[in-house]
Amino acid sequence: MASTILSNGVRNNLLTLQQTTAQQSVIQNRLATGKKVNSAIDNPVNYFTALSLNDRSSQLTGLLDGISNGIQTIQAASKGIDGITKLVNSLQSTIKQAQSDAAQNRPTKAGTGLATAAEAALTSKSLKDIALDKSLVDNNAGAANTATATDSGNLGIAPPAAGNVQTYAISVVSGSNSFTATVGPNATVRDVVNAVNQSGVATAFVDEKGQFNIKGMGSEKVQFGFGLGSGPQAGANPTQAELDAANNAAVTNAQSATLNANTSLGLAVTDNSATTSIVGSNITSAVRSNLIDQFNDLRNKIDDLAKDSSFNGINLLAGDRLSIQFNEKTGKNQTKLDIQGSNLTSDNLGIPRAVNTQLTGFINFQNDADLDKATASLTGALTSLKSLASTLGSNLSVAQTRQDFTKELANVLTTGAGNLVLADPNEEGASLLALNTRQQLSQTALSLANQADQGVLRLFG
Amino acid sequence: MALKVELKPRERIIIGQVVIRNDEQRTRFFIEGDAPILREKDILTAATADTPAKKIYLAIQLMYLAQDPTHEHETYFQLVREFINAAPSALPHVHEINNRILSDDLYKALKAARKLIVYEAELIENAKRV
Repeated sequence: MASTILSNGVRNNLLTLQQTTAQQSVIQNRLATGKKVNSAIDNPVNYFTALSLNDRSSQLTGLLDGISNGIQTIQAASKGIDGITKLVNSLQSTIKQAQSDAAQNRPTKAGTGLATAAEAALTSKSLKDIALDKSLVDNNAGAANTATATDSGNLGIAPPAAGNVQTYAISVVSGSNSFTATVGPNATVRDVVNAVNQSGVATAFVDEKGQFNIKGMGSEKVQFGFGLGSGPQAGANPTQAELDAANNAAVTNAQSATLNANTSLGLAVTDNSATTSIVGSNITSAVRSNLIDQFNDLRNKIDDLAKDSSFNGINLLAGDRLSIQFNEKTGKNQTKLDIQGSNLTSDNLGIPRAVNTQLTGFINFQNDADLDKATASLTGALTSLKSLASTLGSNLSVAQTRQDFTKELANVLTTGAGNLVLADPNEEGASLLALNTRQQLSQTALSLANQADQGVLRLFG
Repeated sequence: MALKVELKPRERIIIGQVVIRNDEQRTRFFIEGDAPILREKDILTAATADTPAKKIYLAIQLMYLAQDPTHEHETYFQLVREFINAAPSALPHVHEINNRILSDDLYKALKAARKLIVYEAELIENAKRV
């Protein structure tokens, strides 16, 4: 602390300074009169401190260049993502266009009729309804299996031996998808149809001729098996464990290529063989073929756009790493923001190339199942893009606020260092008192007080 | 590593977004994890921050409690500019505070702000001396 002491009069004068301009005019006076000289001789300590703080200010300004480059790198990547998102949207609409043209090549097979005209006359129901209502098992021993006005009829499957329970199962295989389901002892044809329709692999229905139909959801061949199995039943009603045992046997039977009970539904045993399964026609849709090129072009544009999203040699969409330094320190004292980019390509986004035939790892535009999968992977790609964009967005705002902050710091240092050379601690105390008085009513202090009155500090009121 | 804290009877402490008030006996406990922690003696409020340096301290305290160095930084820089204009010789202290903030070490920035409060008191005391 300097030893010079203000005279009483000067002190009182300074203490009463209350106008905003007060101490600024003091400094300006000092500058105008040139009483203080900006030289090392005048006040060496202040001079050298000011010099080093000026250095620091220019270091910070140097950092600002890096931060600003970093911000532009993030913005370039962010723009790239916007563009890629639009391209993925276009891919989605290409898929929709393809889907709107019906596939010609779904595998289908109709079995032999499960209901007769005679039954229709007896029941006054349509062939379709008669077939759907029939029980699977021969449940009216001795009587005819045909549907009548009082009996819904059955498919004539032999009932289980006494003391046993019998259940039924279906097995559907298409491409890499497979599905099995079981139906209970008292199931009807309708239950079998419903079970198949839950597979997501193939659909089943009974047509107006009373025929059981099976149709693939996609274009790949379909293997269909219907089976039955039985197991012992101790009580009047089967327990869950007993049903499970019978179900397991039924599934095994349904999956067999040679032993299944497909004939009961009017289908062939061989419909469940890998070699003689139900196949679709080879007809392709021209509309879909034409869209393949469009799809692949858009897909290539994604790769191109990702490659072009760099700034200053760093491309966050090509897996580069961006490091923005916030202070000039090294090692563990360094504050920086590291952003790891990701390698955005169509492949990495899970968007396969489109083709006109069935090939692993490609989208067959003629296959509805493949188009569904492509829609799902495009939705997945959009989700990845969105999450990447939001990561970049939050990093961008961190870098931008840091940029503002560093600018302010550099400003404080530059102006402060300038004043420091002229500093006179004897006047400063009075200036601070004057500042204090002024601040009582200032907007800044008010805003600070408002902030402090919110959150946890208000509890200390 | 856990932080050991000992509270006097009825002493308060801020941990994260809550205030804990001790009962009538001394209490000792350990805090694990990452949250702003401020003892009652280190806390300034709008009412007790009654000098320019204390207002700067309060602004940093708000940053610390929010765990966000950019929190209210308009206000902070306004206060700092006013202070440096009034007392340029305080620049090294202000510089240390800014450095700590820039290195994301808001607790150390608070400690540095405490030095600024002491320095401010010296300057004012000096001016009042006859």
